[in-house]
Amino acid sequence: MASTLVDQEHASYRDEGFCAALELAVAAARELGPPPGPGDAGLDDRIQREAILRLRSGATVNPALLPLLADGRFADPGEHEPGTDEVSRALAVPDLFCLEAPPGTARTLTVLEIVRSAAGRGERVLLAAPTAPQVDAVLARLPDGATVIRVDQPGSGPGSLAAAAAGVQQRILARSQAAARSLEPWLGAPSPALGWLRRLTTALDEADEARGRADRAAAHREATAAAARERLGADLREHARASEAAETSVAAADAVVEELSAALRRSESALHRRWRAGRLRRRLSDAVRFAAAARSRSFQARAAYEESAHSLERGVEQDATVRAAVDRAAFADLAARRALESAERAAHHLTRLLDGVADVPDWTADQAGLADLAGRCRELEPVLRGRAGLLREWRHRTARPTAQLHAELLRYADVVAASCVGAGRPEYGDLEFDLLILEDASRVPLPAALVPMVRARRAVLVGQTGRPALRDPEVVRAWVAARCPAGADAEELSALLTGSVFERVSARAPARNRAVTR
Amino acid sequence: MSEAAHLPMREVVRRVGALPGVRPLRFVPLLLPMWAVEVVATVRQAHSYDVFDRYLSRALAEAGLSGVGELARFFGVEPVLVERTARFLERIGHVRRAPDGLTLTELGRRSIADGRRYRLSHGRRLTLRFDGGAGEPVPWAHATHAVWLAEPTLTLPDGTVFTPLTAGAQLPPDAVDRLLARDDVVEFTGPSVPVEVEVAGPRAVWLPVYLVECADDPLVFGWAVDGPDPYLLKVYRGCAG
Repeated sequence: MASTLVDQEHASYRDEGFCAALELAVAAARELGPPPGPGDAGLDDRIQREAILRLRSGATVNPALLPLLADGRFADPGEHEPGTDEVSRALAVPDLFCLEAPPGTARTLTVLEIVRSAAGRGERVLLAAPTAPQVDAVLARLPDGATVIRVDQPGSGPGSLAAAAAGVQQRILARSQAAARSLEPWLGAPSPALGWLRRLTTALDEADEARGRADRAAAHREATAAAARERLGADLREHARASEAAETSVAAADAVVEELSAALRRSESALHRRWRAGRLRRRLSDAVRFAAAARSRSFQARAAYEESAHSLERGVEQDATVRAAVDRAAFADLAARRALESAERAAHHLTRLLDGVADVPDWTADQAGLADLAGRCRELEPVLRGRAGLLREWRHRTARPTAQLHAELLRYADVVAASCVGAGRPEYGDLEFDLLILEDASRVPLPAALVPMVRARRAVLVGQTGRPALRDPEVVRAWVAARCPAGADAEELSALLTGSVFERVSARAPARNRAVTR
Repeated sequence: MSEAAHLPMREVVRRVGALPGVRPLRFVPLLLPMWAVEVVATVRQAHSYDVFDRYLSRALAEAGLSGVGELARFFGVEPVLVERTARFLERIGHVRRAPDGLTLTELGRRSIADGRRYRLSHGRRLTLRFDGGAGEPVPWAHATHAVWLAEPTLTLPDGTVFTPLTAGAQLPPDAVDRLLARDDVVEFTGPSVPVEVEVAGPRAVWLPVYLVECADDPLVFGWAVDGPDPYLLKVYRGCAG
């Protein structure tokens, strides 16, 4: 006969037995009469069973929750040094912290400080209690803009989902108004901003064409003036030739004077040639006179040439074809400047429209600088049009009262307050939290406490030790004796029915996971 | 007699009788040879967007925004709301964090383009079905609203015996890849669209139909469509050669 050996001390077997005992405890609690409270008992049972299922399958936000609850296996805190006060110690543990709060101590203040600190560092907090917890004091201590939602709060009262949604909607509309106004000119088909961009582009194209026309007109003006000079310059050319001939004559005369001077110096230094000196002096004297006369003629020819040149310039300037070409070039240059000025005005408008919605690029008021600006604006325009359209849709969407925001507000709220079982209602979906604070944990049986605990990465249980049992131990003992199925852990079942989550966990928690409020 | 239920012959006779201008000559119960391919797939399922996640994704896709701070300023919300929405989108594979901010993944871009928030689920077991002729995928409506037989035998309680058509060619080895590459893949796989699959070998399955030989073109009746089924007629012609 085949046999199967089961190691009942194996962790997985113990965990499985613990989960079975939890399910039995839910069923037994139903038969023994649930603790009085509002709500649908059938739904509450389903919610608790769903939490046990998550615990059993390891689908808890804290993956080590099952061994912690079943066997008291707490996580190693690592090398992180917690502070000395209860708040920093409670926030430092990686899994679960028991905060014992005897009557007369600063329980509420400590809880509020834990909530405030956790929310302040961006953590999502689930504040749970046997019945819907009061959150007014929490609200008063949270930073501005933090969202607190009471999921058990019906209607649109303070802290309700509807009120939170309305508050968020109002804040969105108020805060996004300025951006919407700044982006408005970029919206539409065509938008005003696109209109100015087109003006800039058109003006730049026109400026480019006008500059081309101006350059061509300037070239034509130069050619026309050259032709006029050619046509009117016969006299000048004659004077130029005369002047050139006069200068040649001067040069020749100067050469003769130089030559005779040298010959005279040689003749005077040689004794046997002195007889020639007298003749040479006479010839030199004639040459000097001739050179002076030639220089005088040259000066006159130069003066006549310059006078003729002035006369030619005046003639060219007054020539009708030249004057027409000059006028055309001037007008073309003016048109090019005006086109560039038009582009510059469009650029100033675009710069104003960009201010506050995008980084305004630096630009210079020349063709190249304005072309760079237009290129940058062409890149930005579809992006800003998209932003403007999206923001308008967003604001329209936000302005409508909607229940569609509720699920997301719960998913993203800083603090959610709920009764233990209320935290697991189906409409709240798969909410997850960084920190659970379970108030009055000494009044909460473990199956009910599981509902918020499976949804949180860490938990702080607040309660008192030494509280009366949740149910009459004699009644529970009798029920267990009569109804506990064979193979079930009767002792565990009794403990689950009579003890609170706080008593169970605090009794097993190491010193670093426990504190007493002062 | 097998247990599988199917349209009785008299129902098909009634339906054919109601068709104007159709002159049936013979009703032939047939088993069309088909292929079933079991796969373990990563599937893409479509969900509705909420509000913040849709607009945040659109801002990344359409508005050139990427930083948490600038997104919060743009939408007029707290940065922590953007951060938490981004974390949610990151967890479902729509967003990744880059040094210069948030960027959409391919899944996120596709979701925004289709207006549906896709989520990937791994390890899903699916059965993909192909016809026994050309090896083309079976439309989703036919795949789900049909009786699929593992053996080529079917006899109805009224004594109707279905005759199997001889299986044609083997299923092309790239049939699954070609299916996944189709733009209209959702028409064949239903709302859970496989994007990556581990394929086991195909197995032959059989689809009971009635071939109605008429004076004109034949008609084929199955379970997915009330009247003559043009798709099944095409499959029949493919199988019959």
